[in-house]
Amino acid sequence: MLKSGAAVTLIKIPKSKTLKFFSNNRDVVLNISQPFAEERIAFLKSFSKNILSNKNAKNFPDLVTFGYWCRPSNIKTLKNFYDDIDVRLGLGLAFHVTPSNVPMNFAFSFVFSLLAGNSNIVRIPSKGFDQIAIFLDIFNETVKDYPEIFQSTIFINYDSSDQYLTELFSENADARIIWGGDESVSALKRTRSKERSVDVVFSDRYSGSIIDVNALSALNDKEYKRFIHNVFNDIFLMDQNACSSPRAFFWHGGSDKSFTKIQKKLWADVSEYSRKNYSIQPSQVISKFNNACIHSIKSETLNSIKLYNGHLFTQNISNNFQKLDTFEINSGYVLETRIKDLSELIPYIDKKFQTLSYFGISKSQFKQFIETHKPAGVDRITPIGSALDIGIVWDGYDLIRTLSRIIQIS
Amino acid sequence: MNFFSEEFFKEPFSLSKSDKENYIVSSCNALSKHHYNKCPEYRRIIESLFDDQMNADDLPSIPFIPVQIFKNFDLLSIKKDQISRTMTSSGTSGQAVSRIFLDKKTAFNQSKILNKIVCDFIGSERLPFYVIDAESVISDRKSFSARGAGILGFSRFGKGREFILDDDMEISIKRLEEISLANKNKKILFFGFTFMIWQHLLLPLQKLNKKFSFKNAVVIHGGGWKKLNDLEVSNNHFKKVFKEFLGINNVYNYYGMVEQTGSIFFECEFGNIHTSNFSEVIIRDPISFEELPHGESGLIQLISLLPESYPGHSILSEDMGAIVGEDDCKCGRNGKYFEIYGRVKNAEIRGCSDTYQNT
Repeated sequence: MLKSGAAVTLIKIPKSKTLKFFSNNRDVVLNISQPFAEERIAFLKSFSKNILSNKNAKNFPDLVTFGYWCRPSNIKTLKNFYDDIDVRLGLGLAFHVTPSNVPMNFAFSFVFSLLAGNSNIVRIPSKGFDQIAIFLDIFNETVKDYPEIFQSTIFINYDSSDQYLTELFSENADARIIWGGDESVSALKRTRSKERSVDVVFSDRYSGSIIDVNALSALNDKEYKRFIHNVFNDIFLMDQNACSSPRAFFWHGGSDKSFTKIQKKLWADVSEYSRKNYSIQPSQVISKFNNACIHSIKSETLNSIKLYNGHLFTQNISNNFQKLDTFEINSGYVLETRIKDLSELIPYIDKKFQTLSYFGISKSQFKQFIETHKPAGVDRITPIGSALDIGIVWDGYDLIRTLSRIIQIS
Repeated sequence: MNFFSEEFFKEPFSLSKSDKENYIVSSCNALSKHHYNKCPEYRRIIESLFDDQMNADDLPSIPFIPVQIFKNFDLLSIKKDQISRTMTSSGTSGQAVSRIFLDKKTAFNQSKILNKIVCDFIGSERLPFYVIDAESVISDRKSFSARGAGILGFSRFGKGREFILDDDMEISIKRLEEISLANKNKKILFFGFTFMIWQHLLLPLQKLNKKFSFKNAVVIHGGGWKKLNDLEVSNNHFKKVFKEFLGINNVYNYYGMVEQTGSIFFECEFGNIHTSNFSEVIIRDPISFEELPHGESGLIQLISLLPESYPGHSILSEDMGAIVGEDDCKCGRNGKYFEIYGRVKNAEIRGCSDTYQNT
């Protein structure tokens, strides 16, 4: 026990009608460790091995991605980014409220905090996602060999009407990791927490992509196919409804002629790729059609909207500026406009803008852009195809540093 | 001046394919232009989504708008002070409802055409009229729910009107016995909403095992099968129960929506649902919205030539259906006839929001 901090505090979880436990532990022991503690890395190594060798897990790409993420080689690479972990300790107890519609976000939320050195109470989605059930089976099996992690982790779900549970967890938590829409987040923020507790909030955000017209036109067949696959993944993998799913595409540079040609081709090809790889439901298309009509009515000027076989709707937003979060976007509905220069992005990049995924623009161009224009938003600039990859730095937070504290020795 | 031809009043099911398409397309083009000029919201939809289709060459090119949009906006092609009646859809509690605005002319045309269509099925004689509902549904005279509007619309086919459910939606067996006695073998008309009839008349009679013999009665019902599909009650079963417990053979279902009152689609004695000279259906692929050939299942697009005070002449519904045939139904009526399979299912989409409130 002493190895990774003294186990002294026990948080008893009271009984409640709607409370369900998904791990075998009942009360939470407060175990604190340094970030990237050996035992935690060892646990993740076994966990990763057990996920990647599990037959049922193979059917769920998001669970497999998570399994890969936990491999020792990846964890060691991450660890090497930090030069101060010797003088850091986890904050203590972390209380996670995770998204109900994205199956694996709770898992990442948990391991980030585990690696930072905390004990964890994780409220998971109530919907019966198969990959969550498989995750929990493997977790409960693996954790048998890691008593400290077993004692200091619970996965639960309860009805939000059980407000006193939220209050209890908030009173005891040293960090709250809150995922959710703006309303959910403010409801939780109103719940009292410890004076020094840290809230890490992942609230409503939205994202966009930028494509350089000339760079795209210059791709050879093989590269172009790969690009289609990447654009498709960014848009459709989370039904275009995650914070990092791009809703607006900015076309950078190029002549009118080359732009028109490559733009039409790209959307036709992405739509065709989606037709083969994404099973869209009639209700999604009907709702996109209705949203297209709502957008038309609300806008003051002409916005040409094109339907690419129902899978993809594109709307030109060049004619009048509207904030990007005033549009209802999901399931393959792209807003687009042309820009000559990166500076034209500025009006769109407000506080809620999270990820800018890019193609054909160099990192140094972005660095210069940030330096010159100091945009109010954007937390992440990443190549197209990786928009949905979740990382230990998320929404502008370095989660290892945010969820641990530094002990100053002088 | 109307957008439909009054020469069809005598025979509302006379047009066959070759004449009907031209007539519907040119009437719709005129209606589209009318709404484009009078309703700014409609104009913006057309400009964004159907720019080059204001002059459609054929049926599938006629622009259409989603039925849902009437829940999001008040769409009018008249001035506010011309509104004589507002109709709302009967959405379940908490949901937004459609609001449809009628002026005197559109309201008049709706009841006129309804009359022509219904008389083609049940004859023009006014019948003793019994509503299988409670009177409270029509208490508000200025704003009508779809149920209230339906009852008032069909009341014109009756002699008198009696509501046979009390305000708690209970049926009185005693009253039913009296009606049976008073109308021995006379032709009478029952009217109601499909689910209400099932829930508050047919179910109680089955439970009590109480049978009647209204041999010459006619039943007209509409309002959709959503709830009965959930209970796995089919149209055939519904008719069977009517026959067994009330002795009624003539049960007519109609399909219509508050967004297109009047030009309803009526089920004939061969079980086919008919378009009339005032209406048309187009079946579209539910993903690509391309027109589908007869026999294939897709989204039903509804066309009515009556809506003048609001832009509802061409609407994409959320119901699935298929065209069964055209101009060749055994009942002798011309035009397309079709089947309805019910509402499309709601898909649950992923996303990061909604953690605390809705889990």
